Amino acid sequence: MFELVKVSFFLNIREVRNIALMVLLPILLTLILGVSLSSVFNESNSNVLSASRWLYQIEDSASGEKLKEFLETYHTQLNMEVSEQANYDEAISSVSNSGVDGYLIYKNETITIYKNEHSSESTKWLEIVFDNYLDRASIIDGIVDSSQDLELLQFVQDNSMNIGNRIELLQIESTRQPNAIGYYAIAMITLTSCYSIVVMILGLSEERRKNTLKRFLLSGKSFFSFLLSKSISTCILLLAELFVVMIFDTFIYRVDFGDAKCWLTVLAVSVIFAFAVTQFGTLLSLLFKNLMALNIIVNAALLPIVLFFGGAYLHFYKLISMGLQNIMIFSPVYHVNKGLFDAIYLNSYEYIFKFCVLALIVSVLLAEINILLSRWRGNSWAQ
Amino acid sequence: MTVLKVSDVKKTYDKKEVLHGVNFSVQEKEVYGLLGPNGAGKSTLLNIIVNLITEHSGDVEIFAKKISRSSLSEIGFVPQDLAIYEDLSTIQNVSFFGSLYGLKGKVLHENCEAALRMVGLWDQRKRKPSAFSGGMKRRLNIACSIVHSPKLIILDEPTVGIDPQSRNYILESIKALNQAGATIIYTSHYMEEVEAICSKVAIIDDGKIVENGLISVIKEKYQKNNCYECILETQAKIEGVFPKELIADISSSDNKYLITFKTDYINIKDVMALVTDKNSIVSIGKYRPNLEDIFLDITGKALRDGDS
Ligand SMILES: Nc1ncnc2c1ncn2[C@@H]1O[C@H](COP(=O)(O)OP(=O)(O)OP(=O)(O)O)[C@@H](O)[C@H]1O
Ligand SMILES: [Mg+2]
Repeated sequence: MFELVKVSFFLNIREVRNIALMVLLPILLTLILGVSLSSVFNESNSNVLSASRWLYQIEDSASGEKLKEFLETYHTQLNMEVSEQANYDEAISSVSNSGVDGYLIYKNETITIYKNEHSSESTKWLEIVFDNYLDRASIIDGIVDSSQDLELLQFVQDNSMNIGNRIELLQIESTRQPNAIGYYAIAMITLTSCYSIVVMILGLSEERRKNTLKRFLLSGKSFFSFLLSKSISTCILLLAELFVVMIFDTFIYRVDFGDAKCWLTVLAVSVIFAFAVTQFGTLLSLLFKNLMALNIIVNAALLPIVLFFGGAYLHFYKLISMGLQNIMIFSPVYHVNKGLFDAIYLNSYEYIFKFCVLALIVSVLLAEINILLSRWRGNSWAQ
Repeated sequence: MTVLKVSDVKKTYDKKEVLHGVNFSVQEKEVYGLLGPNGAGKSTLLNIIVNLITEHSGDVEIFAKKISRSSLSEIGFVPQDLAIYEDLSTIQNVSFFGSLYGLKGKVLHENCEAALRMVGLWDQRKRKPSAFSGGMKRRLNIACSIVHSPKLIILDEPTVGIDPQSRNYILESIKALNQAGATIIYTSHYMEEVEAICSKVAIIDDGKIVENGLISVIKEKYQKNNCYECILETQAKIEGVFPKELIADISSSDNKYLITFKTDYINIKDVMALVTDKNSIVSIGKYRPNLEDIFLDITGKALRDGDS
């Protein structure tokens, strides 16, 4: 078994295509897209988007103070002009007349945002910030009420945690705010793991095409042990590649992956995800013998769709239309990204833990199906 | 000792039966030939023997045990199509396939050397097969299958489409392997090869074994009493030696004649009695058919179309 893993690993890394696909591509894409994306966030580029004007009314409480502090400290980064307005009617009419982009009320531990839909592009940034820090910990819910001209966005507090604590967390973590490269680096890690499906499929079909799979079977090894060694070696390869990518991200792009625990989580999650993905790749290989058909299914349909709906290239999914957002949750890529974000930027491991458990269950199920299929189709697949 | 016993093996592909109940057995240290034209079912039969095809009826026994995954390590199978990694060097290929059988360290290295020397590729061990000629790749294909020193070596057309030099090398290697104690099953549609290295042969046509046994016995069986081979002096003419009315057919090359008489003559003396000019005859004897003739005789068709 060890020998099998060793050699298929060896074969994988000799394949120039794999290396190009799994190491160079993510680094290059991170370089190109990351740099272009980061320009959106730089203060120097704030003139690209005209600053949005916000009014706020924040109750006098400990957590209210923290929120106020946050707004006043980070409004330039968010490209906002903020000022206090205690008069509700006046504020609402300014928002309605489009003079002001939004009105934020914090009362009874609930954040309510009234925003002007005509200037919604710029107001979305604030939502994203709240959403990233508050929704991510599943503390609050976003409700959209479009009964009026105004869009009402209300963040309701979850009982499990005091919103004051959340805002405090926001303050602490804001020193490590995710920047564009950070978003991108994580998306790339997910993407790289996703691409191990291609490595798996190519590996399997190469062995079949070159007849070398026959020699595995001739030596008395079972078809299943062959499949297993292939998936393990693919995962080891992936781990090595992720390591390279992360080193690159950490030292060249200076992406902040947090402490060692975050780092290891990223690697572990990617491998679990990749194992599920390779099992899926095996299933596809067993079902579709024709490599051409497989390639089309995976490269032209499956991967782009999953990645696109998963928002792999753009974490700011609130910028995407509601219809797409509803589809997103069906893409595993979305959940990996979200989980990794929680872990790295919020120190919250709950989501990613749930994801890993689910991914493991799915991969075991897929592996079971593969065992059954390989028994059923058996050696005829090798011919 | 019976190394291989195949009983009533049938195989159906898409409702079409390609093997119709094959029976034969191979004894220890034999070189057993399986001779048959393209599409006869040779590869199918061998794939069943080595358990690559599992859906079939009938039984295969190796060393008196029903074939199973655990008995496969006793067999070295050389598949008809190349099964090597072009990206790995020659020695890495052989060593990897050896390691599949659990060989390691010094034993593995020694076995690799022996296998590569056997096929004459030891000096090329560092090179990658992608730079090899067709014949060298085939030799490597053989080396990969014998690295675990199997007791039974099965070769599926190892010489197809290669240069005569490589072919001779392969045939010599097979002989050497046999002398070292291995039992060999050798498949080909080149009857010269089978005649050169095999002691026993099974002739297979259209999914059936039409004849099998010792080559010499088969040849004797298909000898015909009205068919004689005769070599004449260079100037002599066959019409001057045998009365024309007794002869049904003559074919000749140079001064060698193959004569088919209208009646049988069991004894050479009876033929000599017919001869009118004894001095012109250099030699005469009953014609010993080759396997090609025998195949034609049994099936009414040629073993190979053209000289492919
Ligand atoms: N996978 C398959 N599906 C359907 N029919 C097949 C398959 N493999 C072989 N056959 C058929 O089985 C018959 C025997 O094929 P086989 O390859 O065993 O012949 P062979 O004697 O090895 O010929 P060759 O000398 O060309 O190698 C042929 O008629 C072939 O068309
Ligand atoms: Mg064949």
